[in-house]
Amino acid sequence: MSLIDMNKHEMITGEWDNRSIDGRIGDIVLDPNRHLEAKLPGLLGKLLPQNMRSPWFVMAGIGFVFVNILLLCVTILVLTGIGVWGNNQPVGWGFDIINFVWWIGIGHAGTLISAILLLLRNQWRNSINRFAEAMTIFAVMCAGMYPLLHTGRPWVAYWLFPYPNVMALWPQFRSPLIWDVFAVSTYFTVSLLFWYVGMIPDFATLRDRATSAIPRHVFGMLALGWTGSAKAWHRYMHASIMLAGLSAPLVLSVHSIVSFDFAMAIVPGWNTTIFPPYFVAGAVFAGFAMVIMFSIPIRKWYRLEDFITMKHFDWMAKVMLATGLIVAYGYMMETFYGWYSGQSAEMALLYNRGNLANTPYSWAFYSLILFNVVIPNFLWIPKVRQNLTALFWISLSVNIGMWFERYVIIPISLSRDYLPSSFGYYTPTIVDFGMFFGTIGFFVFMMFLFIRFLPMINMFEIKELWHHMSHHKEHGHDVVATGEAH
Amino acid sequence: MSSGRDTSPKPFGVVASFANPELLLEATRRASEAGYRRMDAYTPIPVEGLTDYLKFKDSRLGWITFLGGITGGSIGLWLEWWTSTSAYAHNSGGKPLMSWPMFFPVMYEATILFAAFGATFGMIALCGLPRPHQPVFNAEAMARASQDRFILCIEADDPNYDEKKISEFMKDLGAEEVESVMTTEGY
Amino acid sequence: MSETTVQTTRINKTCMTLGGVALVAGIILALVGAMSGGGDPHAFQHGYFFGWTYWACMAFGCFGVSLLHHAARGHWGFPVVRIFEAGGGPITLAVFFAALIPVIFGWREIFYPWADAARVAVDPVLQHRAPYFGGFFAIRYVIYAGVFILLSLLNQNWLRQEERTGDDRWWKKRQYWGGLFLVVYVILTNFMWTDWMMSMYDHWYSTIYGVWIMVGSALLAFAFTGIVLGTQYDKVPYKGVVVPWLTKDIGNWMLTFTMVWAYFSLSQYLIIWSGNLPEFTKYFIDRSLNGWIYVGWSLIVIHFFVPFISLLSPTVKRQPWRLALVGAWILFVRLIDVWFVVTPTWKTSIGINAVDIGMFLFFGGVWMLLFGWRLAQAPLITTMTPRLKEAVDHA
Repeated sequence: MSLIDMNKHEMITGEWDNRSIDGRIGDIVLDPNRHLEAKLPGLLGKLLPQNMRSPWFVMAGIGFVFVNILLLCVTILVLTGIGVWGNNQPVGWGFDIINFVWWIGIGHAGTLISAILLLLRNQWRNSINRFAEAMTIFAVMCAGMYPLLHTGRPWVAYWLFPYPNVMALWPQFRSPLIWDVFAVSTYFTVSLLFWYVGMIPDFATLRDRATSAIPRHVFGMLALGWTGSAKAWHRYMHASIMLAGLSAPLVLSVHSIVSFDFAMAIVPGWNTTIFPPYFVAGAVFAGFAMVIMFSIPIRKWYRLEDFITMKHFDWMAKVMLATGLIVAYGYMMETFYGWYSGQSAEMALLYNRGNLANTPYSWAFYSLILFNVVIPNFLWIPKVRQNLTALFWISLSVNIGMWFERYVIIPISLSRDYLPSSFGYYTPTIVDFGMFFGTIGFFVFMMFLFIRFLPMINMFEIKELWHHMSHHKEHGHDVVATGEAH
Repeated sequence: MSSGRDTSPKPFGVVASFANPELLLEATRRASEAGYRRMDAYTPIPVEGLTDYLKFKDSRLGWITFLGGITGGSIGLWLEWWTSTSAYAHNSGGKPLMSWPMFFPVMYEATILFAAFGATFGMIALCGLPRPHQPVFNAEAMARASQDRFILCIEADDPNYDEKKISEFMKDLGAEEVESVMTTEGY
Repeated sequence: MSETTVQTTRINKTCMTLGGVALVAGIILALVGAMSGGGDPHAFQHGYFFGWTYWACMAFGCFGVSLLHHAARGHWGFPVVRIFEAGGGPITLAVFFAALIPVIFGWREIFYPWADAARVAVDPVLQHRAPYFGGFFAIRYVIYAGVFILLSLLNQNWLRQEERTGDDRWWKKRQYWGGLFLVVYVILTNFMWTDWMMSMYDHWYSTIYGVWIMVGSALLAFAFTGIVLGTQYDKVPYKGVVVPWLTKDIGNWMLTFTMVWAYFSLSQYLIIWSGNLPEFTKYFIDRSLNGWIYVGWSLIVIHFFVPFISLLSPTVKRQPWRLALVGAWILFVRLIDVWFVVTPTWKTSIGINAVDIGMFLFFGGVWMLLFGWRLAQAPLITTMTPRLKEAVDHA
């Protein structure tokens, strides 16, 4: 029996029933002791005082420190102006847009896992969707910060939206940046709705399980008075399917529009037609890497092995490999058609990317190839996909690689475009780095708050899955629910 | 309450709880055959086939979502057309005032946004939510309806409503517990 | 003779008859058209390339989706993999590669600016590309043909072995190599269409072009599969195999590729329209003057909205004959699209002549004959039952 089958087996025969599922997932929220039970391994665990050894405190604590660094940087930025960043002529877009695109991309896996797999009725998605959707919400929050702060005066950021005003101005709808405003705000709103709708029945469960007044009232309000009525379920499922059907094309459009930010311009290396699908694939690539990176430790700390199985990891690794290959295909096309174009600007760009000896940025391009193309290709090997340590490091490599991809696209193209007299070099400042690591900290902090206060695994869908499986078993059917995931 | 409305507790219905969805489905089928119409089932997971026995059919949500989408797309395109050709018409990059290809993305996003509003808020409204307190919550068994009990409730406004008869009927069908529920004082 | 064989022979006969009629009609039309000439001195060659392209897309598309099935091992593939294999197997591919020999070796000057010494002499971009074309162009043709035929031979062999022995090992092998084969297929197909179609422009290029054509080809393959299922669902051996989930899956594939086609087309248009650089806009200017623009506009409706809205409906995907209707429609709109992508390259005026139609019918006949012939070489429904049974039970 392979490892995958064993997990499947456990899931069917294990000592499960609806109440134990609620208990195991719901208590992570309702019972704070669940967070203390989990122990940090190794030296770090020994060094800390007894009551701080829980990974929840450590991770949320680290996140909180970086949130403060972020706040500090934002304060400096707002008080001084965006001159504290490294952006300047000719590189007007620096870390802000790199990080914006990076974060938006990371968010995409959540929507994709939820929406597309719901449409495909792939039931085993149920244990990772909530978690991945939360990542979407927080990643989009991180992303949104950058353009808002890049306006220099974030308190008038509402100027981006079309509204009647005394200046008689309206947004420039021919600009991809205004498309971004619409795409990202729509994306955030729809993801939030999808996430919330998905949690309503679980809020009702938490409301009914809560033993003290505050959680009962808070979850009671959040549950909106959900009774689990058959009529309500009927509409609920209909609404979920439709939201999934809307989210799937939305997720494609959002990163396509992000890619238009570049492709609509005639900067060398940007005005190329492969950009939309190649950006979307890159987003999914990075997003899945982030889901894997987060779920490996969480699964271990909260002992969720029979919810998030090796099958999930195998499947996520395969998606990562497939999207990674599309991204690699994108690099290949960029390079080949850069040469094929026969235009001096495009070929100069290739030179700037590829010539290690004479150009300032080629290290970024080769790091990109290493992290994003070479390392992920180890996922072809089934044993690597079953090895969580390897998977963790490969996912980290992918996230680094995808960051470099944006670095390669933005400063390399901008620093040397058509006019040699205005060639320049881009150096990020300490505030740039502070904000970048600050948003990572913000993301981690928010994720751990989410784990503490909201059900991180979809309880009713797990119960449904469990019911289907035990039902199939009773009736002597093969269990095909998890068998679909090839 | 000075509204003059009678807010004293009245019978709400008979609530029977079952251990698993198969029993509930069977009970609902039999209750439906026995002629009960005003009833609803309360379950922790969506149970396929229940709405068929409850004779419940409602396709309004699809239309609400569709209308939301149409509204969003029209508003988006109208806004782009009006601001770009009349309210604030100016030449930008030599592109025509009505730049059809470039007006597609915002129209598309607006379509999706409004359709999602339609699906979400339509669902919430059609379900009669938000309504944090509902009479059926007065049933003891409801505390587990969101966890591991499958509940059938025959409501008091059913023409064939007879507490005793229904209780017997439910017990015969394998209900674990049966109770009559009153509405809440003051609602 | 078993019932299954009889039925296979029946489908085979239908295809053979259809193919034969199309072939003869095509030759006659093409001859008539070539004789009457019209204004185009190269009417025959142009028509030849146009007809070839549509049906080569069909063959390459069938091969591509068979690889997709092998790699993803979706349930949807088991009942229809023989259709893909007959439509894009080694012999079909070989014939369509062979049919391109006149273009590759004989008619270069007619189609390709880089083969025209006078133009190369004054054009630095063409001079820059010169080492890539010329001799290397022919070498690449041999590589594409060789690799494609080899890969499809391997797949066909594994499929046959699997049927003969019923051994699990073979489909595992197909799946194991499927991913890698698909990678090779996508890369080679991209360069193939760059060589044969994109390079008809002296400066224009588009990085999405290869996958765009590929997506259209896959759409053709699924649409044709839909037609086969829709016309055969109540006959042996498809009876009982063409169940609602299968038509739903095939319908969803058609829907997916329709959407991806639209997405790629729109992205390409939007980026080029917005960039507004002369070497890129040339492509769309050729396709907007002299009435071509109406074809472009109508494609939005007939190639996107009509199939998209039809395929969204669950009823269409449940009833095989409706799916077949949508499939036939897609075959037709793909023809318009291929016509819109291929012919404005050399023909400024809109209009279609007898050679175009004739060559389209001719290559359609060739493909049909090959399809019917190859289909009869093995049982229509693969007999390696465990997987297929699982797939059917999956309903």
